[in-house]
Amino acid sequence: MNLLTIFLSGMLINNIILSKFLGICPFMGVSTKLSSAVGMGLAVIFVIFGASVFSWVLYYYALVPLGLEYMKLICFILLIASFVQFVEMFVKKTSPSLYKSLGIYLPLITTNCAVLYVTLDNITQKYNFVETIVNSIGVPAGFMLMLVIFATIRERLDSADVPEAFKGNPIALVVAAIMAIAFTAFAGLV
Amino acid sequence: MSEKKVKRSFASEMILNNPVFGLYLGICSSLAITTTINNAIGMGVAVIVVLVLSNIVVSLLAPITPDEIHIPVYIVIIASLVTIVGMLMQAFTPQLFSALGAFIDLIVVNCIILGRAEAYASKNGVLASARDGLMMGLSYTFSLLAMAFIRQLLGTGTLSLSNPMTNAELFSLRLIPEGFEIEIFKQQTGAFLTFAVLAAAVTAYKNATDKKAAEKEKAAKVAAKEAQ
Amino acid sequence: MKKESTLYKVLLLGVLCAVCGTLLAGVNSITAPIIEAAAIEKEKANLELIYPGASFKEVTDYEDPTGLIQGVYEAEGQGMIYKIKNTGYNSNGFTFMIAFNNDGTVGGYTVLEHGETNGFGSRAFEEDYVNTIKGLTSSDPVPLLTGATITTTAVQQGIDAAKAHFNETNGISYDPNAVAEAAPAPAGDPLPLNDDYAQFKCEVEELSNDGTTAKYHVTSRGFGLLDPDGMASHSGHEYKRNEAEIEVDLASMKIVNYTLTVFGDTEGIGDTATTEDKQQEFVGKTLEDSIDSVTGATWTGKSLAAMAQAALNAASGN
Repeated sequence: MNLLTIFLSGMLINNIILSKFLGICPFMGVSTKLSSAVGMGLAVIFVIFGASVFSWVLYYYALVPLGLEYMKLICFILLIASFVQFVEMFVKKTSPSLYKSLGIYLPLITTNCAVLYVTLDNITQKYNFVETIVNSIGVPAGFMLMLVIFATIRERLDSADVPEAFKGNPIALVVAAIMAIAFTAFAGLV
Repeated sequence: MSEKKVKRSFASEMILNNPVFGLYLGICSSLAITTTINNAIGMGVAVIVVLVLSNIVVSLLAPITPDEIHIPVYIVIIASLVTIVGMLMQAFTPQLFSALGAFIDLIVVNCIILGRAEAYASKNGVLASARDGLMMGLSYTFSLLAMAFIRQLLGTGTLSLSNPMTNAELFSLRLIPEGFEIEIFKQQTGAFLTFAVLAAAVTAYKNATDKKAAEKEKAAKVAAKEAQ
Repeated sequence: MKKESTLYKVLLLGVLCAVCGTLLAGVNSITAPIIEAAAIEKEKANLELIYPGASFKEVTDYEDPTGLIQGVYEAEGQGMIYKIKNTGYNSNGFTFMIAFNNDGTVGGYTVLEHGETNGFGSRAFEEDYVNTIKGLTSSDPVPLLTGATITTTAVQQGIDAAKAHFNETNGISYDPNAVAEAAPAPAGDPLPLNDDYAQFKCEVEELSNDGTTAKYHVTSRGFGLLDPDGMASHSGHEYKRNEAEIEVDLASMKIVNYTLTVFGDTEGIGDTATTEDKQQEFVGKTLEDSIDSVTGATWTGKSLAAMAQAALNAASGN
């Protein structure tokens, strides 16, 4: 498969939120304001990229030679947790301003299923190293795109006259449903 | 009186404190795999097993787990349980396993499980933790079933159930004639819509009970004042 | 909770991981064979199409830079089966199986699912082409099918990927860049010479007439546009023209010679209808006869038939 196809399918066609339903918890949580959406999006791109690269190397250079493929879930989730922790400490020490804008989102990411999904997906799809890198940038880019689009819509929704019971998350999910219809148009892209 | 109270607390746990529609936990899997009732039950059972066992193990290990490393310890426990459940499902219910796909592995990051381990099992005894896991798991399965019931009925017009071991159909009931199904409920859009409506219904119910309670309190206050 | 020494924490995590690892290894050793058997079972119905009754084993450690191979199966003592998915004309792609016997000959070629256009791409999975493939060995290049080039190119890529793996595991040396001749295009519906070919706007010019035979120079509308940018001026019919010299026997009203002098049609498609053989087919034909058309080059075939008709009409007018 060529790299552009992988990138576009990760970002648009198989958009992680609209077609795979992953990363919805943080999506609902931080898509209320544009500024926090951008911050979260960048943090997710960084973490997914880093975690994917490390987990790919770990899988093919440690688990496969040892015949321990069935340990991949434990190893990947620990790797993601410690990677996030490490990044958090590193950013806190080196750049307090960056920590202020990104840092609060980092702990949230450990339980973001999108991260674990991408690391596992790279293995199931039998991607090579370059494809892994492309996929693990494309997928979170799609996540961030959704987050930003959504945040702008939700800022407007705040002032809309929504039925009492639908206020907050339910109306956001209705918006997501409509967005999902729009995104099916990308299916013919590749 | 006491029986009524138990019933009420069960209902309230199922609806008001529903982890999915009430607290928005574990949304991802409930959106993704609720295309058929079969998948919903399969996923629900997998989550119940993992949740009960992880709660038991966590509450057993809690006294010897130092605070600083409790998260990695929980993660290792949960990930091992999920892997075991996944392997067993792949071996004995292969159809179900391929239908649920990556979402079996993703039980690891289902907020409900880590959340219960952290909030309940680490502070309570083994039996109480097991019961808590079972209740939460049932409540989660109940939400999945509600979603799947609506989506399968509207999307395919039939309600059906099959044996996950042999894939033989147990029953199949067509309620909407062919050609009148609403295809969109099988797709992503349907998942979001169904979820939104159910979540709104739970919110409406919650609002109504809150209002009732407030009125009751008000009435009680008025009555107390009058008594004075 | 309590604070403990670092050593204790590391030890606890280590012990926990060890316990979990052992547990997983135990469960894995029980479930792995069942999972493997189930995976074969799922494919078995398909594999049996090629090697009925063989015992199959899945090969998992193969290298496939093309990414087209979906599965590799070994039929014990008989050969190797490759399940391949590639995309041709239909963007959903198609899946087929190619098998090589242990002696290197093709053991089977079966399509599992495809959505290629009927009559064109679908021919890649019909009897003629299937037999062509079955006659090959693992070192032969795979021929393409005229009129189904896109589909058969995708088939060719898939088979090439299988060949690469099979030949490497069996130590067979071959030329991966060899090119095969296109398989002959099959005959289509007959084209009667007395049909209505008015749309070809044939023009006839008599070159010679000695009383027994007459020779005509005939032109006819071909498929290609003379001026691709001149699409707007449709009324002008600025199509490339085919030209032929046709000799007719005046007594029997039969064509005795048919030579195409100018050919203005699509190379590679239209020209399958203009081979020497195709031209020879007109010899001995009268207005009552018909010739075989060529699938995928129907227009060109008709153009040629129209010229024959025009020449015969001109001859009968004498």
